[in-house]
Amino acid sequence: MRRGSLLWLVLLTGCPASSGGIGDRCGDTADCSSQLQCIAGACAPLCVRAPDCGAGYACDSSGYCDVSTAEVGEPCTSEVDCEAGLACVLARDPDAAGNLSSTCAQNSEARPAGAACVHDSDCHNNLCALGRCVDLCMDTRDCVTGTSCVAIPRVEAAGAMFHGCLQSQGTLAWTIPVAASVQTIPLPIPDNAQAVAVTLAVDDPNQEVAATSLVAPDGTPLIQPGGDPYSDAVRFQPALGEATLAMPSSLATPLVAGAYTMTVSSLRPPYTATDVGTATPSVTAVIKLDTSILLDLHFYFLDFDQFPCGDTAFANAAFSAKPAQTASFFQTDFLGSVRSILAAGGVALGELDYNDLRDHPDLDGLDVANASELLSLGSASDGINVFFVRSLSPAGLQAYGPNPGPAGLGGTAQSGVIIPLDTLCYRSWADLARVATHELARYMGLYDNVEIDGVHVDPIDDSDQSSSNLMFYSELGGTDLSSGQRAILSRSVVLR
Amino acid sequence: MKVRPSIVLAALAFAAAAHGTSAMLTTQVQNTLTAIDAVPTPAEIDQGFVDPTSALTSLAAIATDPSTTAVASDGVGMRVRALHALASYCTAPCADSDTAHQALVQFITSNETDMTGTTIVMLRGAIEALGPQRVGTDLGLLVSMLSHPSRDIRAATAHALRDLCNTQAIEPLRTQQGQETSDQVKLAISEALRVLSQPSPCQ
Repeated sequence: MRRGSLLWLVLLTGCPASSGGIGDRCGDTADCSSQLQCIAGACAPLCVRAPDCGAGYACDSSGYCDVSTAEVGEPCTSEVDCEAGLACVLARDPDAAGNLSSTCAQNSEARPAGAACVHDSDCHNNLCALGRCVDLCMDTRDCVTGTSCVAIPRVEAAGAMFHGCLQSQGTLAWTIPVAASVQTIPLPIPDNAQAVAVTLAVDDPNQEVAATSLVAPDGTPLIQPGGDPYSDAVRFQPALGEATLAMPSSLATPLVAGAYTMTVSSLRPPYTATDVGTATPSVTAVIKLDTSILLDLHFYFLDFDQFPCGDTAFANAAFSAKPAQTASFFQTDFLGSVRSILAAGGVALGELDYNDLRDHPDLDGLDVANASELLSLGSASDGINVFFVRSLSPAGLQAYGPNPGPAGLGGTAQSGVIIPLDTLCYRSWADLARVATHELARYMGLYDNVEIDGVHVDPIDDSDQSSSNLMFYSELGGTDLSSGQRAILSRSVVLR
Repeated sequence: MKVRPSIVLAALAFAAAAHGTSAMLTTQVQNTLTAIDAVPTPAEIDQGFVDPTSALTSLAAIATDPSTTAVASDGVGMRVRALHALASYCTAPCADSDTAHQALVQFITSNETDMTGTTIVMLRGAIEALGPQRVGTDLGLLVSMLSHPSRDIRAATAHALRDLCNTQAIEPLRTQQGQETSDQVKLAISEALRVLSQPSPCQ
């Protein structure tokens, strides 16, 4: 992380008194005007972060750059402790107290902090975590702008925590290697993570993919092998081809920093936990690092020519991506209602884009058996892809989508939700907005407050089984959300 | 974790109105038949009625008689789902005389010329439900729907003929394919022909 700017080291002229400006020669900080300091014989601004000082310096709490003095083999706690040309390298194993020590060592020529990595050896300091090269730190001042010093579990050392510089905002995605059809893998969660979505996938659409167990960092089982998904502390439903696990699924089981342990497996019919399949799951984890609440929606319109109720639904005009951007029934009646319902849930609509899909006539009237074919056309990896089709089979379905859906992944078998517009033959655009928002909320990690079987309920403590709730399974439901539901919704990893 | 709510069945499945010309549906039946993203199972439908053994006849009434639905605007959605649910009350091979089958046929024959949007939606649901019952005598009815003015109905009919699994549908499907203008329907017909042309279709 020694890539701070030294642009202020310019050619120096003379050695002024205490009024030295930026770049003026100096003997010590007293030679420079206030709010400046003397670095390497020149006056420079006070630092905010260590990289402001350049390689081989730390930035103290007063804004002064301190020369790093630790040499090879000496202990360090942060990258900025070590002399220029050295890296602060984490010990392989924790000490007797369970802590990870670190010492200065020669910098390798491997990738710098922030670069993508798979193995420790990919990184200059031999430290790869969450798919990124990470520099050690003691304080956010040690880290480059845009990153923070956070506690991260070292999965290679039994989950012992260390402090490293990690991006402060947005989402962070990485792939967790899996080499067998059933395997236990670590899921490291840093302490600035708000939520995580783990998407499991197998190439064989006839095999299910599942998280058959999940254990919290403190050893608490969250998903029990062979257990009931409705009883587990974290809800997860195996699915054919692709399935996503989202945490937290309730505030009663918050996401905590540390190394979770998850067993992933492909399953073959009849899909019990012991029916291990032949496919090797792929695992992508995405964590949300901030409290952003913007939901981007990417609209896709199939062919609506000769639509059965185009006169009332589309005001007797052609309907596609372009008219949708101006038509009041779409912008006001539909999107206005979606916006309003989401706002009550603490979510705001972000960017919207409109796309035509007129060259897929086989998907105009869609059978849910072919839903993955359509959803895989959802190329956007941020937000949620929303597909408007003419009709959906089995007849009567008003929406289809994963629960929850993948975050940070476009073009997968579950990358979006599907809304058939023949519902508009007997419902208004505002009614359809409630249906669509219900499905978006499921994608984002909420569950039906009560399932159609009348027995199973969501895992959120303060949501009732009222039909006035947004997550009520019927189209006759309302738009209410409980405090707990709002909290889960606004933490969704699809938000930016 | 919350405890499971008790399943409370409504007091009445149908509370007949004073003159017996219309009936009110229980809340549970209404909710079950308006599910957004789930297809109710027969068991889930049955439990909405006081007498589960009457579920089929009640469902048939909902599907075919608009006066049984409480609110007209809600009724279309319920009727679509009721039509679809009828298929699961008589699985293939279904008898021509079965109540579920008869209700579907009655709905189609009564509405095949109605081009209003709501009817098209329900008609599509009925046609979609008819095919999987595999009643041989439905061939003629379905073939006649291949030339329906709505491309959505024609596409649904092609799929229903595929599900009917009667190779006698091949010729009319080919005929319609030759004159079809909609790519959506052409592809549905191609899919039906692909399935029906297999040595042992639907086995």
